[in-house]
Amino acid sequence: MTNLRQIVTDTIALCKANGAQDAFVSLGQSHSMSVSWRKGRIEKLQSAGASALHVQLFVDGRFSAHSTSDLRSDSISRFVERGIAMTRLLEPDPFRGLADPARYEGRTTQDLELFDSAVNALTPADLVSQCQAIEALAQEKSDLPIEDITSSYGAGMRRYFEMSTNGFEGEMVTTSANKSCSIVLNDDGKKPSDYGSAAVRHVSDFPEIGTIVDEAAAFARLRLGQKKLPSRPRTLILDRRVARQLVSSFLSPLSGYDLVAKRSYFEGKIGANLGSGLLTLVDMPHLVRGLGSSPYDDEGMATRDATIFDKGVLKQYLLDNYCARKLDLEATSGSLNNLVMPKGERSLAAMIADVKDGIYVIGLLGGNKDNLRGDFSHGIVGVAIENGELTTPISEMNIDGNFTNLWQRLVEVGNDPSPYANYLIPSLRIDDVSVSGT
Amino acid sequence: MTWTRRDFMVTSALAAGAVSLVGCASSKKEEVAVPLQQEPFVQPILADCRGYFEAKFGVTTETIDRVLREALSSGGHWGELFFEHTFSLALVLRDGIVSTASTGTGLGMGVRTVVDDQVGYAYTESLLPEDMLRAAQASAAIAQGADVGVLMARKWLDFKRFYTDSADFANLDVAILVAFLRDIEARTRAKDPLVTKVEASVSFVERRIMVNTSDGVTAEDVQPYLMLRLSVVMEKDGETQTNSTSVAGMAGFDFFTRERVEMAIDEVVRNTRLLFDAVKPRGGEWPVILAAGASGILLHEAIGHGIEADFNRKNISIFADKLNKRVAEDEVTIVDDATIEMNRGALNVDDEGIVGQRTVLVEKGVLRSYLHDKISARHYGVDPTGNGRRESYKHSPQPRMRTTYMENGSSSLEEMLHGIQYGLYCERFTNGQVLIGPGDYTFYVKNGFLIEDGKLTAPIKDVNLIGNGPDTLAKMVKVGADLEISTWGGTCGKGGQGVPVGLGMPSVLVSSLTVGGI
Repeated sequence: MTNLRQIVTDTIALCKANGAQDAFVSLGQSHSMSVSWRKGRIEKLQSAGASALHVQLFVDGRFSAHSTSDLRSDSISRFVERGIAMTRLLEPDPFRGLADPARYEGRTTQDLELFDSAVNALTPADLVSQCQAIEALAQEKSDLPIEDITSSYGAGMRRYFEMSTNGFEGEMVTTSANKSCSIVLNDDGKKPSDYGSAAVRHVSDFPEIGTIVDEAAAFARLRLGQKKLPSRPRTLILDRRVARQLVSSFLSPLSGYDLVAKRSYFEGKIGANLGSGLLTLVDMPHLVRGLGSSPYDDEGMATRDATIFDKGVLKQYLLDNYCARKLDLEATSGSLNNLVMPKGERSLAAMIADVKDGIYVIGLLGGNKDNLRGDFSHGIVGVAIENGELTTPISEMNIDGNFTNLWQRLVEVGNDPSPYANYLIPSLRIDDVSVSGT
Repeated sequence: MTWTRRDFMVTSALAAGAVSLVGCASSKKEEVAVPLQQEPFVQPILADCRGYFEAKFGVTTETIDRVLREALSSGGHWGELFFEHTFSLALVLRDGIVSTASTGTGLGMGVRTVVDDQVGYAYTESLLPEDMLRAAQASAAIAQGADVGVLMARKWLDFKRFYTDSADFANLDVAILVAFLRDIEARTRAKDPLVTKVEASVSFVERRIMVNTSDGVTAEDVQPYLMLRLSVVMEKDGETQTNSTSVAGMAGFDFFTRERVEMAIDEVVRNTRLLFDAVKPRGGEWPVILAAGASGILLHEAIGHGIEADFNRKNISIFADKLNKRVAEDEVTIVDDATIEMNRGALNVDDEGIVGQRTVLVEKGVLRSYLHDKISARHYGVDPTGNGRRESYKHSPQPRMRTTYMENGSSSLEEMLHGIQYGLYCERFTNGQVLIGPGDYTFYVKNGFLIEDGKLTAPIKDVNLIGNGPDTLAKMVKVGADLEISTWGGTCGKGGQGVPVGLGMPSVLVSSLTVGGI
C-alpha cells in the first residue's frame, strides 16, 4: 500500500521549498469492485484502484488548486513547481487563505465507524451470488409483465491523508457498498422501469435483499398504464426519494459561491421565515456509520451539528473560508454531511389516505430553477390520489412554483426517512401546487 | 449541491433508465487542472500523434501485446487496451479579478475483455507492465470458460482530422488568459449599464488517447476541448436578474475570436435583460416552435438516447421495434455526426478505435440506424457507427451521441407562426432528461417568447417542457431552412459517465407539447 502520509508530507515540503507560503495537500486512494448481473449471467465485472493528489497553493497572495493521478515522485515535483509558477501569474486576492487553525480544534473523538473490514473482505464471488439472489427474487414477481431485470452490487474502500501548512492533519479510512435492482416492465410497447437500492458503510447494515426487490417492483408497478391529467393545482405527496431531490435543489443557492455571485434567493434571508413550522433541516456530520459522516470538512475545519432551517426560519448559509471572508461573515462549512429532517408521526400510507385530490410523486424528470428568483419547474412521475386511494398512474406532467413560498405549504412530514442515503428526508405533503398536464 | 470527494457514495441511486444533458455544469469547488509553464507537457508529436504513449511512458508494442494476451488468457471475443493522458486548465474571473485557477492531470489505462455482451473491465493509473498485466488478469475473469481469444496483428488506423492536433493547452500563457477574461468583463459591463456582476471562466482540456484492440486496430488521437462560460447579474429598479451562456468547441485558443466572444456577450446581455419582463406561460398542451441552434436538445432527448443501441439490444427502449419504420414526417431527417469541424461533438476516432463518421438516424421520416458501439454492432451484425465513447480510462465504453442535429426543411418562421393562437417560441435551454423505456423526456427553457395570435409577444423564462419521444417526432409538422449548429457547451450524462456533445437544429414547429406553467 502506498504510504499516503509520506507522499503528503513530502509534497508539503516541496510546496514550501518552491516558494508557497501556505498549502493544503490531500491524497486519496480507493479500491473498488462491482458486478452487474442480467439474464442469468454477469453483464459487467469491474475492478479498479485509483489515486488523486490534490494540492492547494497560496503563493504571494495568490491561489490555485491542482490535482493529479500521476504519483511518480519526479512527476509530483514537476507538478508542484509548475503549479507554483502558474499561481504567480494570477492576480492577488486578499480573501484567499487557509482556515483559522482554531477551527481545526474540537474534532469529534467519537468513533464514526466509517470502515468495515467485512466490505474489504468481499470477493467477486460474493457480489455475484447476491446479484443472482436479487434476480431470482425479482423473477418471483410473476404478476408483473417483466421485460428485463438488472441487479448490481458494488463495494469499495477509500483512504485519505490530508495536511496543511498551518497545523491541520487528517486521516480517514472508509468503506461503502451498494446493492440495487432495476426492473423494466413491458406496458403495451412502452418499457417503464424503476429501481430499489441501498447504500451502506457496513455490510451488516444492508436490508434483506427482498426489501430492495420489493421497492423496485412496487415502484415499477406504479408506472403501468400512465396517463396525463388536466392542468390544475393539487396536493402533492412527495415520496421520500423525491423529497430528497427537491430539498437538495432548494438548498443549492445556500452555497457561498452563489451568494458571492449575487445569484441566490437566500441572500439577506438569515432569520427570515421561508417555510412552515415543519421545515426543520439539521446537518448532523457525526451520525455513526452515516453515509455523509466526517469529523472534518474539505478545509479541515472540525464539523459540528448545524441547524440550516429551524421551524421554517433560515439559520445559516454554507460558507467556506473564501466566501465567508468575501461576505465578511463567519465561515460555516462549504458543504453538507448528513442532512436530517425530523420525522413526523404518520406513515406514507396514512398520509396518502388523507388526500382527496392529489398526486403521489415517485420521480422527478428533468427541470431546473432560477437560483435568484426561486422559480422552479420539474417533470413528475407518480399516481393520482382520489379520495385517499391511489388511482391512475400519471406521466408527462409538470409541477411549477416558487421555492421562496413553496415550503409555507408543507403541511405534513412522514415517519419514513431512508437510512440508506445521506439526506434523511421523509415523505412530505405539500398543498396547492400547480400541476400541468392536458 | 456539490458533492465532495468524500461523498463517493451515491446519495440516492440513479433514476432508473434516466439519462440527462446539462450545460455549464460549473463546479462550486475549485476545479482541478494541469499547468505547465516551463517544461512542455506535450512531447514532440509524431505524425498523426502516433507514438506519444511510447515516447512519454515507454509503452511499447511488445508490452501492449503481452497485456492484450493476458486480457484474453481465459478466452473472449476481443480485448482492448485504452490509454489516456489528460491535462485540464481552468481560470475564473470573479468580482473583477482572475484569482481562481486550477489544473488537473489524469493518467491511466483501462483493459476490457468482451465475451458477447459480457464485459470485464479493470483500470490502473500505473503504466508499468506489471500493473497493466494485473489489470488484464482482473478483466480476463469475465471470460471463464469462453473460447480462446485471438490476437491479430495491429495496424495504425488512418483517419481525417476534424480538429487541430496542436492546441497545446499545456503551454498556454496564463498571463494572456488573465487579460482575455479581464477584457471580456470590461466589454460585458460596457454593453449595458444594468450589468452589476460578471463571472467569466475559461477551461481547456487536452485529452490524449490510444486504443489497441485484439482485432487489429491501434489508434492515437489528441482531443482539444475548450469552453468559455459567461454569467451576468443585472439590476433595474431594485430588481435583479441573472443569466449565463457558454461557447464551446474543439480547437486551439484562437477559437475565441473577437466575433465569437462578442456574440456570447451580446447574447447573455440580451437574454438577461429580457428576464425583467418575462412571464410564466399558462400550463398545459400548446404548440411549440423551437428556434434554430441549441434546440437540438429536443432531438438529443426525444430520440437520440432512445436509439442508443445498448437500450435496443436489451429491448428496453421505446424505439426497440421501430427500425426501418416511419417515425416522423417526410421533412424530418436527423443525423448524429462526428465530422463537424471544431464542434464539441466531433471525434476523429471513438474510444473503441472506430473512425469518426456521420450516421443518418432518421431519413425522410424513417428510422434508419441505431447508435452503435462494438458490442451492439456485433449483436445486430452491422458495422459499428463510431459511437463507442467513455468519460475516461475509469469507464468502459457505451453507445453515446456526438453532434446530433436535424437537416434543413423548407418552412419559414412566418409559416410556422401562422394560425397559432397561443404557444411558445423557445430559444435557450439549460438541461434535459429522458426516460428510455417509456420515452418521456423533458427540457428546460431559460429564454423564449409567448406566441399569441401568430406573433411573438412577451418573453418567457424558467419553464420545463415535457413530451414523449415517438409522439413528438410525429408532431414535428414544419421544419425550417435555417439549420444552425450550436456552440453551446453541453455535457451528456449516462450510466455515471459524462461526455461532451454537440447540438444543432433548424427552426421546428411541434404541434403540441406539455408546458409547465401556472
